[in-house]
Amino acid sequence: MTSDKKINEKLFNSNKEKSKHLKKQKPEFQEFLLTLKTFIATQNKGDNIPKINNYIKKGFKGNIEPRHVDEILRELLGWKDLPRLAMRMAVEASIGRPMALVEKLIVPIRDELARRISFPIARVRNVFDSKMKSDLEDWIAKKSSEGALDASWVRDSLTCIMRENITEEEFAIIHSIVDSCCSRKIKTPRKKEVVQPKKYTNYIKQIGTLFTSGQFKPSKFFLALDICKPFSDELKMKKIKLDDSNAELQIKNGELLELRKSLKSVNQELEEAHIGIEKLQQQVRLKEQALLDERERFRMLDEHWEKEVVRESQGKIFELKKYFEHEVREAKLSLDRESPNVQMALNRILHMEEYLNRIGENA
Amino acid sequence: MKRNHYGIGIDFGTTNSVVSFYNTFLKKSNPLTNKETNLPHPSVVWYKADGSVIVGLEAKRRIMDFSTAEGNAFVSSVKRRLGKQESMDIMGKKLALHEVAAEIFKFLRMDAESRSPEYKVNEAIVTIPIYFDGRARRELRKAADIAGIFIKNFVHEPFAAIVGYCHREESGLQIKNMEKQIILVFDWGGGTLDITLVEVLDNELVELSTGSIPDRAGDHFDDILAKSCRSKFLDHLRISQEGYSIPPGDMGRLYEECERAKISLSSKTEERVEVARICKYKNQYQDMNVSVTRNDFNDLINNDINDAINEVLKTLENANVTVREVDQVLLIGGSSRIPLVRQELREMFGHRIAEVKNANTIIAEGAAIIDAEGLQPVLARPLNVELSDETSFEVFGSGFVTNSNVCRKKIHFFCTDNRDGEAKLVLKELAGRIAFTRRLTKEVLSIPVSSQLPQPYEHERVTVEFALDDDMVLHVSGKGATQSKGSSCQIYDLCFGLRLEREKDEGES
Repeated sequence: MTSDKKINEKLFNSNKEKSKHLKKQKPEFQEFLLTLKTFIATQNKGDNIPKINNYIKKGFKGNIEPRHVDEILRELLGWKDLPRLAMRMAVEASIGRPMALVEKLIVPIRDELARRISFPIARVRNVFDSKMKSDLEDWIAKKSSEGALDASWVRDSLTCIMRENITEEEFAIIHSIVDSCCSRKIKTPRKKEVVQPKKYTNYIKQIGTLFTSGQFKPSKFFLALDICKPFSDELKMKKIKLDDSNAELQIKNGELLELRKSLKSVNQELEEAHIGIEKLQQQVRLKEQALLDERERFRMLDEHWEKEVVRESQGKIFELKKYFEHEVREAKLSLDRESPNVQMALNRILHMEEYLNRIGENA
Repeated sequence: MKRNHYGIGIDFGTTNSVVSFYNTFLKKSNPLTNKETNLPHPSVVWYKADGSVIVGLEAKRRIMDFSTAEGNAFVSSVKRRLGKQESMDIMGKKLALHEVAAEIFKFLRMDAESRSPEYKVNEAIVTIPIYFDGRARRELRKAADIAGIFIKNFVHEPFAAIVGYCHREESGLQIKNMEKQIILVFDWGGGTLDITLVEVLDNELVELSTGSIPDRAGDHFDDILAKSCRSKFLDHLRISQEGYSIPPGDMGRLYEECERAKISLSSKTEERVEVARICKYKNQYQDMNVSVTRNDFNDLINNDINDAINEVLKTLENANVTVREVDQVLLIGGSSRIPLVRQELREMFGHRIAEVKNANTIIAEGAAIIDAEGLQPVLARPLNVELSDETSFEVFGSGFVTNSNVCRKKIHFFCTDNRDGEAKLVLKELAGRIAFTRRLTKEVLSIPVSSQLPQPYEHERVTVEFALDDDMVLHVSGKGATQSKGSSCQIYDLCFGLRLEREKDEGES
């Protein structure tokens, strides 16, 4: 009996180990993806978020390669309940040690959610700094004014803010958001717990439970600025500064407008001046051309008058020649003979003298 | 402005001819007178025994020496005979007159182009006297064509003279401001006295009337003075006038002396005409020594001057213009400088007389300006057609540019009386704007029509075509609708004016 018992125990134990082994055994990636697809497509009576979360946490055989992450994300990003799953994954990532696959998936999922709600995306990945406060406050105020704050927005924003090792500032923001919409449903951590961040694990878990549920509807929605007061004061100061800056900007805008007007008129004057210059240049060109023409004209006139003088001189020379030839010929004929006619020759000389005296009279 | 734009005018004269250029850039005329004398080239052609041809001063100088030498022929005053369809016998060879005239054109062209190579004399405006009819114009064109000169237009000499004078700075006149002014052009040169009364009307120069005394000009006065001196000299030697002739060479000396004395008499009251050894008488050389007073000379030319003045008055009377109505008198030509002439004209017109300097070239200068400015001759009066039933149709109105493209028209008439087998058209120049001047009064064109139509007063359609050619000759041809042959005539003496503004080309604003 004992041996039977032992055998039975052994068998029982080996079966148990086998089933345990089987239970722990990870599927191949394709199988994993197929099962994930089936989970996503199946509409259970109950909530299947924990089931999918656990399945993802379990992971698949082999190394996680970027293509695996991409294919999983391809399935998840189109899924309507992704924000709830993301919240669950974010909560688990912030309070415990996340599984490798979850760690690889939560970052791109956060990016996607941040993109959807226009969360200051740079802040999703970076270390929380002092500027984060003002950025987040500005962002929340903007969203509030746009009337875009609802359950999904609260959930997604919390998913974006939550991370491993939540800082005090992050916790203040998370608390502020949660308190503004569901203070009754979540037990606020004691002050001690607030001081020691590791202690507000319970608070984060409660947020996870509440926001992973599809039933959540925010009961009130305003920012509990007590916690954000320093940020709010800073915001107010910044608003005042902004107003001042706006006023200054308005003045500067006015001045700029005036300057632009002046610039426009100066440009117009410049354009007119350019046109004027162009006209003057045109006139200069015309004048230069006219000057060249005139110079050429003067040169040609000089030539003309030179020719004219030569022509006139030729005419005068011809007249003189003709006259003196006649007088000299007649004088010679009067003298060059046996009985010279001296009187006639003298008359010829007198004629010539008279003629010579007349030359230049009308000059 | 184009620097090389110029106009060319040719004054083809009876005694002298000259080419002138007008440079529009300089606004200056450049008449190409003889290089030696600065006078226009004599229009004398010398056909030498060796077959060569000499034109101008050289030809004129050799007339005395070679005119009687065998194998030489001299032709002068060829212009006067143009249009008479005559020919000349030059050393046994028959030459048409336009061929002789062509030698002058050739010489003018060659002389001008050799002296001013920048100008090409291949087309020009040529001036003509008012009396020059279509036949003479046609013959002149032929002559120019032979010389390679295309005559763009003919312009009347007095018009060219007015345009030339108004462009001279000394005139102080602007032709644009002379509307309705009456100008008398008194052109007494070496050959003829030409008087033209011109009016500036509607921006056109139009001739109101003309007068002319041929063969009585400068040379004539030298001639009568020389004859008078010769007569006195022969009387002194008691030789009969007919019994002695002075050799041609010595006569040339006498003419030179007479010319000198004539000039001298314009400033002195008395002058001696002395020519040594003018002839040999009784084996002794005789010297001519004759005294001539200004009064003597005036007496000699008085008749001519009176005739000239009377011609002026007649010209004014023909146009129904009084002496007072004349605004300007242009004196052109050497003979118009004779003191007695100036005195007589000054008595008539007072300060309105303008003596044109270098008048020898003024006509050619005016023609060159007309060419450069693109001025064109126009019909001075409307041309009408009258039918036998006294109905009248205007063919061309006055002011038509004389361009064969413009002056071309076809008109249809109906013969109203065909009994004599002829449709008679009477062509008439109407008085138009200028009433008192010579005009074509009647030119009849008989066009054959059918006289066989059944009823005596049936109408036959007659088509008449009118076309004015480049020589300003009107061609009229008519044909009856039933006839295979028509008839035609040419009208050579229409009246032309000169438009004083340029005819705009197509596309020109």
